[in-house]
Amino acid sequence: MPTVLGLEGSANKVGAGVVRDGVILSNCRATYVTPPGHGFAPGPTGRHHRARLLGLVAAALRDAGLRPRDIDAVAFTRGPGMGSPLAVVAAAARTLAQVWGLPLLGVNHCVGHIEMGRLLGRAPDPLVLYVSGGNTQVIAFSRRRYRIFGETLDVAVGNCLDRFARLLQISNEPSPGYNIEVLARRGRRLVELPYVVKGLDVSFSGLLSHLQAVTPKLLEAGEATPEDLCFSLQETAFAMLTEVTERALALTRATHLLLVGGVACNRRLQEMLRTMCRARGAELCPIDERYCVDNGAMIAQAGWEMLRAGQVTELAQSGITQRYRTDEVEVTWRD
Amino acid sequence: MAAEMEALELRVRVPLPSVRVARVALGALGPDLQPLPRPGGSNPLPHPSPHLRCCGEQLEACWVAAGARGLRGGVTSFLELLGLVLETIERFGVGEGRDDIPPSPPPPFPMALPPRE
Repeated sequence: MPTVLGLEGSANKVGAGVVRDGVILSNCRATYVTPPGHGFAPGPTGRHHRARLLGLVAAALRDAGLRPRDIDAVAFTRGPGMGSPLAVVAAAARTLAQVWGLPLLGVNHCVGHIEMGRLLGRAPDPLVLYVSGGNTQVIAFSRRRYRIFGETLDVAVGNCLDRFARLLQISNEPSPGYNIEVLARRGRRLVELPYVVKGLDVSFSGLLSHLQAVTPKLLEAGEATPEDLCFSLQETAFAMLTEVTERALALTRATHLLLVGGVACNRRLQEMLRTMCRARGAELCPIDERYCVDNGAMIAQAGWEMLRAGQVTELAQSGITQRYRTDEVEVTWRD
Repeated sequence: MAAEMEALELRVRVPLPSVRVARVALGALGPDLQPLPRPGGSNPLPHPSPHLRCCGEQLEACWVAAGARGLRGGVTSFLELLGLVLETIERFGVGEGRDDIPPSPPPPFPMALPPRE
C-alpha cells in the first residue's frame, strides 16, 4: 500500500496532501491573497509559501494519521508555474526525500490535475478540459501522452477573469473568479465582446483588451453595470470553451468529459458544458470543487501513478521548470 | 554609452552542523540554483546561478555576476532557500545517513505495486 506525500506551490496556492492507493488521506492548503486590484508576484508568493509549507506538511501528516516512516515517496510540482514558488516547494520536497530516504517524484502540474480528475471522475479515458489561471487546454490521451488538441493562443481563461476582476477592483477573497461568478448571476444585459475561436484553439487577450478599453466608458455612461460586464465576460469566454470542447468531443469520440483546474469550480461553465454534453450523448464527469483548485493531493495522486510505473525523478535531474507542457510527459502508467 | 562593468565575484561559506546536513542542503538546492540543462530551457530563477559544493561541514557558494544587483538577488534567494532546508531538517529530522557515507539511494524500481481498482 504505497503512500505518497504531495507538495504543490506553482502559483498562489501552497498545499500538502497524502494519497494511498486512490484514497485521499489528507489535503491541506493555504492561499496567498492580495488586496483588490493587485495580482500575485513571484517573490512575495514564494515568501508566503516558504512561511506556510512546513506547517502544511505537518498538518497533512497529522490529518492522515501518519508518521514520516509511513510515507513511501515524496512528490512535488516540478512545473509549469512561477519560479520562486516552485523553487520553495522543490527545496522542501528534496530535503524531505533525502532525510526520510525516499524516492522523489517530480510531477507536471497539469498532469496532477488530470490524474486527480480521473481518480474522482471514475472515467478511465475522458476528454479533459483544463481551465485555470495559468492554463487553458483541451486534452486527450493518445500513445502514452496527454496530447493537447486545443489551447489558448495567449492568456489563460482564469488569467483573463482575474485581470478583469482587478480592473473592477473586485476582492481576491476567496478568489476573483468566484466573485465574478457571483456578480454575473445578477447581470441582465449581454454586452457584445470579441469571440475568438480558431479551430480547436481560443484567444482571450483581445477580449480582455477590449474590456479594459470599454469598461470605464460603459460604467460612466450607465450603459452597463459591473454585474452586466461580469455576465457578458462569462457568457462569451465560456461559450468559446464550450465550442472547442464540443469540437474535440466530436473528433475524439470520447464519451466522458472531465473538467479540471480552478475555473472548473464555476457553476455557469459546468452548466454550459453539461448542456452541450447531454446534446451529444456524452457525460460530464462529477466535479469535486475541493480538488479543482491547486492542491497537494493531486500531486500525490500523479506521483502515486509515477511510482507505480517506476518513473522516479533522480535528485540531480529534479530541477524546476517554469515551462513544462502537458504533452512533454511520457505517461508510462497508462496503456 | 554605458561604462564597461567589471565582473563581481562573491564566495560564501556557510558552516552547518554536520557533513550529512551539508550534503542534504547541496542535494536540495543544487538542482535549481546551479546552471544545469533542464526541460523548458533556462534558469527558472531571475538571478545569476552560483556554483555550489560541500567542503566537509561547510556549504560553499560562489557567484560571478556583472552587477551588484543581480549578485544581491542571487545571494538572498540562496540564503532564503537554505533557511527553508535547515528548518525542514530541524522539524522533520536529518535521517539515518552518517557523516562518512553518502545519503542512502532510493529502493530499486520498478516496485511491485498492486493494480489500481
